[in-house]
Amino acid sequence: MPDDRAGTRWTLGFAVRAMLAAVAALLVVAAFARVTYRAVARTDADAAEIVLTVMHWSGEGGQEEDKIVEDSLRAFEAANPGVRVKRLNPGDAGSFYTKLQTMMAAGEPPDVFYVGYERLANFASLDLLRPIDEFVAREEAARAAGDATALDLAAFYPQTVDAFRFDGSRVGTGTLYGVPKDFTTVGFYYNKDLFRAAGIPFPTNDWTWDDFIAKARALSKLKAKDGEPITGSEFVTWPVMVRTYLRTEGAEAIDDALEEIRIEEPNAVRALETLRAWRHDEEGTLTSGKSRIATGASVFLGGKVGMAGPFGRWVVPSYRGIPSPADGGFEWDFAPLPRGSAEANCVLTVSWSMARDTPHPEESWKLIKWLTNAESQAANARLGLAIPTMKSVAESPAFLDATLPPANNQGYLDAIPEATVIAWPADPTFEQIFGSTMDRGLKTGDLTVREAIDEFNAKWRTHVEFVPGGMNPPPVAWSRWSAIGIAALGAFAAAFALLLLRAPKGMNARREERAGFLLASPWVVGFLLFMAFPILLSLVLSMTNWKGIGPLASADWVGTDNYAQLLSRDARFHTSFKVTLYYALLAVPVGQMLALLAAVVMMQKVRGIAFFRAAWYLPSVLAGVGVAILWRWIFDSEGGLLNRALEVVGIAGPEWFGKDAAAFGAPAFAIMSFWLVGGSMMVYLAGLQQIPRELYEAAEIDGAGPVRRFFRVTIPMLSPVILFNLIMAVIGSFQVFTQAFVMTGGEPGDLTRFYVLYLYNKAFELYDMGYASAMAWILLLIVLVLTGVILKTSARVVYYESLRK
Amino acid sequence: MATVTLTKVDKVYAGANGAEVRAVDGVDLAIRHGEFCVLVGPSGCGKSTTLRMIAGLEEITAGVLEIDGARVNDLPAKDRDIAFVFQNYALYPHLTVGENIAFGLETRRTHRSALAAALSGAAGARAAETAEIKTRVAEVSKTLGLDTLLHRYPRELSGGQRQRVAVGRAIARDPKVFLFDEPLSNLDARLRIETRTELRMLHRRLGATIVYVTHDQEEAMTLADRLVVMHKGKIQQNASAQECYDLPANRFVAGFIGTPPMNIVDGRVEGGEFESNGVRMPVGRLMAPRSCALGVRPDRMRLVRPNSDHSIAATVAAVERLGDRTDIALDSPWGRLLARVNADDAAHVRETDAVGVAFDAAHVHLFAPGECGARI
Repeated sequence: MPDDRAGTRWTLGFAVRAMLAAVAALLVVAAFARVTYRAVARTDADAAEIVLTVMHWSGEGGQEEDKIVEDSLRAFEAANPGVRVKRLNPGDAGSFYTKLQTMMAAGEPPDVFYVGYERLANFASLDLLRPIDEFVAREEAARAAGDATALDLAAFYPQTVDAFRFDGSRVGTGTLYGVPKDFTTVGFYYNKDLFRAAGIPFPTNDWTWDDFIAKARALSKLKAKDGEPITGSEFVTWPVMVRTYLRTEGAEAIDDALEEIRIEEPNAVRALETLRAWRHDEEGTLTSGKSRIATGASVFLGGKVGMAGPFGRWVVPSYRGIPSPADGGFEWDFAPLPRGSAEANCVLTVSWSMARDTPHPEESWKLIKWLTNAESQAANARLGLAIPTMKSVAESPAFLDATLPPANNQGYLDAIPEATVIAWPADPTFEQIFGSTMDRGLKTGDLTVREAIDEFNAKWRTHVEFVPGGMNPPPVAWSRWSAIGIAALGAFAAAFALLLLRAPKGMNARREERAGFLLASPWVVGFLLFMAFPILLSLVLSMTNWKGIGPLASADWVGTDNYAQLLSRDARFHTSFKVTLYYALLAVPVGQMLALLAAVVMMQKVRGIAFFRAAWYLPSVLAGVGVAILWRWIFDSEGGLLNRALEVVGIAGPEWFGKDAAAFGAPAFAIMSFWLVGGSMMVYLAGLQQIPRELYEAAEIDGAGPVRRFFRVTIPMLSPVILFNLIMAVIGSFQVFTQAFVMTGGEPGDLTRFYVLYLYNKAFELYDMGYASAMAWILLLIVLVLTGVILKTSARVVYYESLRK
Repeated sequence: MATVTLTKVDKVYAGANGAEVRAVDGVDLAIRHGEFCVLVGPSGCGKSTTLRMIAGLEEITAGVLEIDGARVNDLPAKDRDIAFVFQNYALYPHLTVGENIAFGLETRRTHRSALAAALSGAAGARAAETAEIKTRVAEVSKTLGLDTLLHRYPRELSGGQRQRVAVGRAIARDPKVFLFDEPLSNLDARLRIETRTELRMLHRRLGATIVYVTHDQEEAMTLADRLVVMHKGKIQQNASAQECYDLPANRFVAGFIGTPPMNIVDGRVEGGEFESNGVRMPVGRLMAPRSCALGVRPDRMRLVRPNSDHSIAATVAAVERLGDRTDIALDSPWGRLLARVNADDAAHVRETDAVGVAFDAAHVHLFAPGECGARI
């Protein structure tokens, strides 16, 4: 009889299982069929219709730029039947490059896309772009044969074209990798109303730095209507602007061959020291650089800065939003960069380029031609965002038409003859290190020019001297690693099988277990696919020099070089580790104490306590980026909420992210983290509610006051929760990213460059994924060790059973 | 040893929707030195609230609480010199048995901090204090048979051992009054009876004043010098256990005290007889006609031949044989009645048998109508 029953059940279970298996098989077959069908269909469609993918960004141009590209592409489709264009616009330039990197790493880059001149050397040296010289040659031939629609590079400003030439080591000559779509020169935007108030003449197109500083000083004597002082000028110290400024004094940061650092030469040092003195030795001549908000193009909008620059044309769309003087705004115009001992300007430009491996080079070229033709350029010119690269369009009313400010469009064009492309070494680290060290010397001023230069040299040398894997590293033995991977998978499967075999005998137990594995299998597969595989891959990658852009096959094997460099030589890494540790030491203990205190307060039976609980938790659910921007205002050292409050109680607040960043940068982030104690508080609250009330009553009768009850009852009873929160907080503190990324970007120098931020910089901005992977593994080890230490040392004081009954 | 006196004590809670909940209503109670006073009643009767007010864990809404003649209404719990044993013992799970027992002594020591004592030159005094605590803990644990468990944690103890630790923690401080809040209800039946006896013996040895709360009337009766029966926040009867059993002050007490509970039937009394549902039984005294309730304890019921004089015709509904006695549930015109008879007398009684039920008029209790109708 029992056998019979088991048999019946077996049959039933079998039927259900068979059905499930059939459904699963059907799904798999259907999926394969669909993929196959799509692959076939695509091949079919290819014969009839070509699909091009185009990717671009729309930064300052916003929706309008988006629309211009869209219109242009649709017109192209209409003119070229059989070609369809898919457009991608990830947003601003930052998102664009992140997406591009992802697509390239996946081996599916867009066919045609924007490339900023500053990335050209990097992209070209990574062999990501297709040279277009053959097409250009063909166009020339066509034109010679009388084809008027053929592309004529001679019609473009030569500097803009040269910006997309790369000879294997430097930009400016060599193979052409794109057609410039537009460009800008740089200069200063000035507030005409303030110039009139100061009684000084407007800048001319051939003004000098002496004129500039005299005007800035005169402007700084003014007071705004509300009594606030007027600042002479905003002077941004972005790397490209610093280098352009140096050229106006006949100096250079690096020689033309991009080999020799020239920043230590006397005229370079002198120029930098002059700039530093203007900012730091004179009150009100230049914006102080103390404030992180009051910097960049937007300071000009407030009307309390006489001049702002050096900026290119891209600020114009937002400056056009400045109301007329009648509506409380002011009049403004543009003047090209002043000259010093030399005349110089820079060309900042963006091209349309094509991916090296595009399957449709002919159509891509056609599209690039279309997107850079006179009509497209004229449409772009109306946007005001940039200068057309085609001379005829730039000098046409489409650009020069002065119904909208700035009136001095000629100023941009006048600068062109002296303007050159600022070539950067292909390794983007140069620009980043240069930027962050110059920032400290020139803007925040916590280093002297001399110190900034020394730091730049030291960091750059460390970087250059590090050649992972030596001169000729072997390629990664992917076949061996796949074999190891498959072996690992096999071992896993074997372990699994062993587990099954070891299963307790007996029909019921085995059936139950099988059901268990069946239910867990989606998770197991998910884990293997989406967690275990990437984790193990990153371990392999950490021993390669993979750039994170381009195929994995391009990676070389460098062994433990990345680790050795990180641990023994990379000063930036050491700084980032120290910053993070400093932060953790402040944020974790104080934050946890605050959270516990808040939880204890929230335990009180007060009317409306639910509201307060919600209110305290609220910050934890707000979006990190928006919150970070708010906190940037709070910590602003000039007029920031916090420093104003400190001022009221008679304390001079530090320059959190300025010259005091070494001592106060990490603490600022810690203070910010205290705002987010709500999450921990909720966990503590749940723990507190688990403590039996009788324990408190017993302690009360035993004569313990509130303090003693807290330390003798609450803390021990809560100890497992405290341990949990502590470990979570320690892990969290090593993962600080969003706040730092948004608020400071790691600046000044590397003083707020948290561990993960540096990791991000390395992986996604400096294209060193192998190095970043090594950092990730070191981070894992650090967190593992810290957690282990905490667990070990806490075993004696944590009372686990308190949550059990 | 101390006296505890409650005078017109009220406890009013703010209930839902602003309604007032009167948990304790005008309680008057005088507990003498060394008396074992048990508050008993169904759950929600206010007995625990009363105890917690004595302890100082609940505020007294109105009335006066005196310990040893001094008003202590506003004295915090720790200054009332009382000890409290909780139903779930409330042992500190992170402390050993010894530390649990010493907790109250530690909090009360003069030199709490070793460092402060050393700095103020009182290190010697502190050491003496420490030794004193140690001795006291040893003493207490010996009394309770806990001396081998001092270094165990509560989680390693059985229920009975934990209960003893809770008692040990209470007696360590030698307080004036012990308060027990259902201390035996988490033990199994056998252990409960054993511990009950131990508690009784402990009381005799300590001679302490004890206020003890339980909902178990049997436990209450076995322990109490004075039994206080509570219902709906009011004291129903305050007397010795025997008196509560023999002469229940009202219908509630009659029904609550005694196992199995008293048979109580609503009806009328007229002349010397009680009548309900057409069936009359003599009550042994002449009374003016009035409606009332008649009560007879099951063990005063006798089974007689059907249709005997002064008996009630009934059918046996259930027979429960307890060995020496047998409980017989009967369906009668007076409703369901329970008779507890000698096993020998009921040897042949079977379910569905027709029988007669009788009782002596001397064993009749009469109560005024209503849930808490007074004894007539």
